[in-house]
Amino acid sequence: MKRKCLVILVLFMFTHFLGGCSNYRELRDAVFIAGLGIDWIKEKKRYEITFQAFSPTSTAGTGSAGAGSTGSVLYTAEGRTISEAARQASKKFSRMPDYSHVRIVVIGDDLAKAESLNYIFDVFERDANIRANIPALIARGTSAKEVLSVIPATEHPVQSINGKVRNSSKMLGENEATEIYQIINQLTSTGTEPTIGGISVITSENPTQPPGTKETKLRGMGIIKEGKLVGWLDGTKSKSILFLNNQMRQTNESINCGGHRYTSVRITSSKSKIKVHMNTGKPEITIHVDALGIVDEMLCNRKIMEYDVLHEYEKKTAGNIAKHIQDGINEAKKQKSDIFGFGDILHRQHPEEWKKYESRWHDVFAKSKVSIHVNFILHGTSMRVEPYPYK
Amino acid sequence: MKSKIKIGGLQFFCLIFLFELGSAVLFGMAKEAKQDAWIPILLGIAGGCILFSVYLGLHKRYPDLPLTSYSQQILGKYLGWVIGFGYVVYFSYLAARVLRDFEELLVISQYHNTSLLTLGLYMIASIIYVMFKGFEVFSRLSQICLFLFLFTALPILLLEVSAQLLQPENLLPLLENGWSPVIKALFPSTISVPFGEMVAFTMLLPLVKDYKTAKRFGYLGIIVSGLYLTFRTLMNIAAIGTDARMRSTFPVLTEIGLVEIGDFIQRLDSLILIILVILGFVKIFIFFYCAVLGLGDLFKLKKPDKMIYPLGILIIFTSVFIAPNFNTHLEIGFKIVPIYLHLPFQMAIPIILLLVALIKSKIKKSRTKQPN
Repeated sequence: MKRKCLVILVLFMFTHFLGGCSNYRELRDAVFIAGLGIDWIKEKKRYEITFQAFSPTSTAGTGSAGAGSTGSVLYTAEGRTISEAARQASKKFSRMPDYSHVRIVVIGDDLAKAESLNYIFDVFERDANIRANIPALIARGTSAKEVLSVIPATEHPVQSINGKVRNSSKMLGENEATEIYQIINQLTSTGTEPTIGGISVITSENPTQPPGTKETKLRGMGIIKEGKLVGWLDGTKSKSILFLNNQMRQTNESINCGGHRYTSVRITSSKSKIKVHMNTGKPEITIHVDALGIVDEMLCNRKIMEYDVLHEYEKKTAGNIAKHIQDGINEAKKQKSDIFGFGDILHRQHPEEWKKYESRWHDVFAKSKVSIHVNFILHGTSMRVEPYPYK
Repeated sequence: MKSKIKIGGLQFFCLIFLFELGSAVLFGMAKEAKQDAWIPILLGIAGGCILFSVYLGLHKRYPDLPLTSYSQQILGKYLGWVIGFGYVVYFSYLAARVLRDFEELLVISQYHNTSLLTLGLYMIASIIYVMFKGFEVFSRLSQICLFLFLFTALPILLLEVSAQLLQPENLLPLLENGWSPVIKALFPSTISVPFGEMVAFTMLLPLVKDYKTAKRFGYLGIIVSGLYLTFRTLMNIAAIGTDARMRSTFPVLTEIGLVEIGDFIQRLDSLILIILVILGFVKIFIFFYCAVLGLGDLFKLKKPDKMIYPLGILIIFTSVFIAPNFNTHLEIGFKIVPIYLHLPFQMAIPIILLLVALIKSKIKKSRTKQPN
């Protein structure tokens, strides 16, 4: 009996040890892919995939990475599907690639314009390892390969791009990281089209860098229509997306106060309400925005203590916000792409009306009448009331 | 097996709750009703209660007998026996189906290189182990499982809320295409899975302490689990939207995969897998145990325990050979099984049994009255 128990115990212990042997992968045999770039080679009708990986050696040791090395390795491979390219890349990888830590996906300009974004994200949903909540960007005017080849001096390229996206959406409110699952939902929905941030490669103007050093910079939000890139929302126009989607965290508005002098107003919170209804075949879109903010820089001398002056600033800021939104909507109407999801809002608010217009929503949207009401309240002027020189 | 087994109210409740969640959480229910998927589930609770009242009615007439015995008493020895045997096959088949569901879940999500057979073997081995310990042990285990479930399910809820994943507007417009898709989703698929699967408890009701406990905690279990499923579906739709829900194999995993807080709370898939495996364990155990009980009862075995090993092996192999691939498995599960298996076994036969039993007792009464 004792012997039997011992045998069972030993067998039981084996199952625990051996359990780790299924699907095991040693860290020294793995390479972690941080960023994926997808390009379209027109001549060959194939996808070219760029893999930006964490270099295994420099990330392992702390001191071993030399100055200037940011621990990135770049591979490319071609294939008719993304998976095929990934398998083809194994000829170049010395280690097993691990896709579970992909942080960013960059889509080449050609792919977004000429081919379409439909289907290419399928693998991100279907595969259990790679995740669908990673942001995607479009390489504006360049290829994804170019974007991922730019190696910043201090950081891993993918971390650098990710940081830019996050900062810009937090501080400036002109770029929003659209995640793959959101893009898929918007591509599928008939009442919304996605917008995807753009990133381009520029020559650095930093005098401390050797001339000709490349840098990446976020530029605008790409307007997608039926899976294809049709235009861009640039500069302050792209704030419209964040205002209307209630994603605006912070931004600032420069308010003219006579001559060439401006006052900066920081918008600290904003909430929008949208109503859509059909009126004799034309959508009527009513937008209400409630925003709060503070004055964070004054480059002119105004009596900000006085209610009238304060009120004037409020009105001007509200006008600015309304203008950004109006410009954004006009651009979208020009491209006949409903990037704000007004169709979905109509669908929710008036399902019967929506059914009538669903099939030709693009054209219907382009004829829409928009009225924007912005209510902006200044709730402070920070640490100072009046600017200097004080009169 | 042994008539001494008596399980208490709380344990009975835990069993029902975990059993009902089982594969319903895994696959997401009433997908065809799109954003209104929660309505058929809410209505399904009522359907489940009606069905359970039929099972309870039968139990009240034969408090000490499982379904396989009283079917013989009601419909006569031969027909009753055949029906009883049908139930044994039905329970084993369902056990195999649920086992396959969970094997596929593990293979697709985590164990990419492991065979279905291996995973099935581990699951059945642990079930067989508990089964030899007896049903009382299992029902006490289910209490622990419920607490495990709560301790994992509640944090996930909080995390989803704090990750700002939920978009309630996904639930609108309400009843876009009227009631017809809702009714279609309700009957037969939502009523039969999971509510109608309570038919397995016709075998287990004699093990409950008394009729009052069975009645009270049975209804409570159905209502609470139904409400939880409704809530779960609402969350699911709000988090991933109707479209992704329709397309994904396991909507709940898709939902959890999106949780990301502050760059470090992410990949909670494994957390939800633990819950799902626990739920699968309870569900497979109950179907398997009912089949064993039924066999013991039909063949008048002194030791029904002997049937555990052969039936377990049968279930493992059935689970693997039941369908050539996962899609066929789902196709059978959503199109064929509800109509050709669930409808007769969960609804038609128990209702006929109850009616016949009622008529029989009426006739008996009138006969006993006549001489007076």
